[in-house]
Amino acid sequence: MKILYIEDEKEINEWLRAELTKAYYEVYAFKSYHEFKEHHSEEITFDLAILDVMLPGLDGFSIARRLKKEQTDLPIIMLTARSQLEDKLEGLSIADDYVTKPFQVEEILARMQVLLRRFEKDEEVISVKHLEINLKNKTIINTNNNQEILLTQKQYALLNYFVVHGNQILTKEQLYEAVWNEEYIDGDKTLMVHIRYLREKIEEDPSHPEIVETIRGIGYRVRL
Amino acid sequence: MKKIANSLFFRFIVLIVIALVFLQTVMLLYLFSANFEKMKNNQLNLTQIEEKWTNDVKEATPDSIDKIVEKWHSRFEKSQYFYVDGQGELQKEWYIQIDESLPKIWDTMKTTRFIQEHYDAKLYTVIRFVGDKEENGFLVLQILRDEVTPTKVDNSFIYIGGIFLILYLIISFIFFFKIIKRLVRLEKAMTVRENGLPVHTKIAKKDEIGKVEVAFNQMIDELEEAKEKQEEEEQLRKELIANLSHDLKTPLTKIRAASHDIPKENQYLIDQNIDKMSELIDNLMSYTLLTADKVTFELEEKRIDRLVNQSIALWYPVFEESDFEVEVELEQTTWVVDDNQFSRVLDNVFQNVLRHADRGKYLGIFLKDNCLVIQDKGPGIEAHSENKGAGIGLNVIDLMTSKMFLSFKIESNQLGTKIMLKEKD
Repeated sequence: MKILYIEDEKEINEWLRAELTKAYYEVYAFKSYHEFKEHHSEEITFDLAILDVMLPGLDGFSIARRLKKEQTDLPIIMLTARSQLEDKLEGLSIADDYVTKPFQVEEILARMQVLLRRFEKDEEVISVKHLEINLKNKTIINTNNNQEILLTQKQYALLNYFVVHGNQILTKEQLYEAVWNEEYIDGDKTLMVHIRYLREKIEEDPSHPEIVETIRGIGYRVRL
Repeated sequence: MKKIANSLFFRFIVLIVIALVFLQTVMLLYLFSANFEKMKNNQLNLTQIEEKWTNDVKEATPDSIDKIVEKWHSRFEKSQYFYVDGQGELQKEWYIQIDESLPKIWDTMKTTRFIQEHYDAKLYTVIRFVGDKEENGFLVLQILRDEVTPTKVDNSFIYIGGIFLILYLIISFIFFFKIIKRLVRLEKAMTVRENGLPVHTKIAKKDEIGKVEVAFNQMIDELEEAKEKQEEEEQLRKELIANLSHDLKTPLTKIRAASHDIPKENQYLIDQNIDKMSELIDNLMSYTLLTADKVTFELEEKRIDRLVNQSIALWYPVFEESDFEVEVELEQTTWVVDDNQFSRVLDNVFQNVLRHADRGKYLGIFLKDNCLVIQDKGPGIEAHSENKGAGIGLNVIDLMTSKMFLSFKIESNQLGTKIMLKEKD
């Protein structure tokens, strides 16, 4: 997994590069866009980019814009010290996610995983409890008996959304709007019904679900 | 000279002069037209007509009556005639326009009645004996009074005078209407706001109002300049604060970077304090921007239950990690808020609970009856001995909520803290 990382602060740059390398990522770290253009050979295509906003020369937003122009499916995380909303909003309209300084490495790694899954650059097979989910082939294997679990289109879309947004708590509106592409109407039981059917197919004990967790009053979550 | 011609004063004087000239003209016209009308009627008034008629008939004989009638009729179109002979028999009628059914036989009584009826009547009537002899009978002339009396002169005078008066009123009206229109336009330019400033007005003329308009536009130019300058300064200040935050947070990140290989226990302490410091910087920044009115609030009707739901969904894992019991009950509720700023308020509240109410291990979020209650079972705000920074966080919440017209109340004792948000009435 090739990661492009541009950060001008030497200590931070070296630290994050080391941490990412430790997490088995192949990191190409630069101090500025200028340096990146000078030393980077065109053959390498990145799987993800991490950009600091405040950089000498071209700033992070402009770099993000240029990278996206060349490679639209490149997920980009912005590192910003400015937690002001305008900055976040501007960043999010170009980049796919942002992390505010002073960040923890775990936070960056978690966001990277989410983005890599979302952009389908992650490993093809993801294991959740007794399931092996192949995001490319859209197949689900029950490792207990090595049988494939067949889901309807909507059930798979739901599960896929859960996995792509693994470890996040998803609200009913969020899920409904993502999977059905329609505005969620209060009291609509469609989502609950689909989750019940999904659980019946994938959970070992559907009355005590372990894969699709219910967070009371808030939403649902799939832990990876 | 041109300057004088451009002034309103000059034009007003012109208007007055027109009025005076008009009065004079009307008076002259009256005299002139009266004379003119007289001339048109062969300079004859009724007395003169009577005199002439008497003369003409006195010299006539019954045979020459026709000639006299023709002569008179050619002069007075609206005249009629009849002849009664010596025996009192109606012999002939000419050019009868108003038929009065004249009697065939004229005796003394009928003649007297006729004279009585025509005294001062519509038809001016003159009766004369032909050749001044009774045996020749009499010839009667009847002329419509309208043709000989100068009422026509009065009519035309009123007519022309009226036109002049209306014309004068129109000119005056246009004069004042134009002035009023320009004043109203100026007033509009003063009251209308574009980007918070009055707008430029069109300069139509170089008179006194025109000068006011020029001065007004100059004033707006200066205002615009001042505003631009102020905005630039504001932007600079914003940038400065943002950069300051960057400058403060970069070393914090460096501290974190440097602490990655020291013993775990110390690292935890450093991490915790880095987060606290970062939060303080954020709050300080928000506080500065909010008190300086530099944060824009886009108020819209929003579903508060959904906003709270989204926010707690993000925070839940953190509370879960700290073994909090999280209780959530959200009723469908709509308030007018800026959703981003409202989420920040919630972030601040949750951050506070996480930091200060760890002992209670409880977070309750209830949205009921148009009131959002966020409750913990911590030691209460008074007990925040080691976290003095909580004050600024609460101040930021207070400022943000008041900008969204929400009331913000805290109830706190040693058993816990209750934060209540409501729409202001």
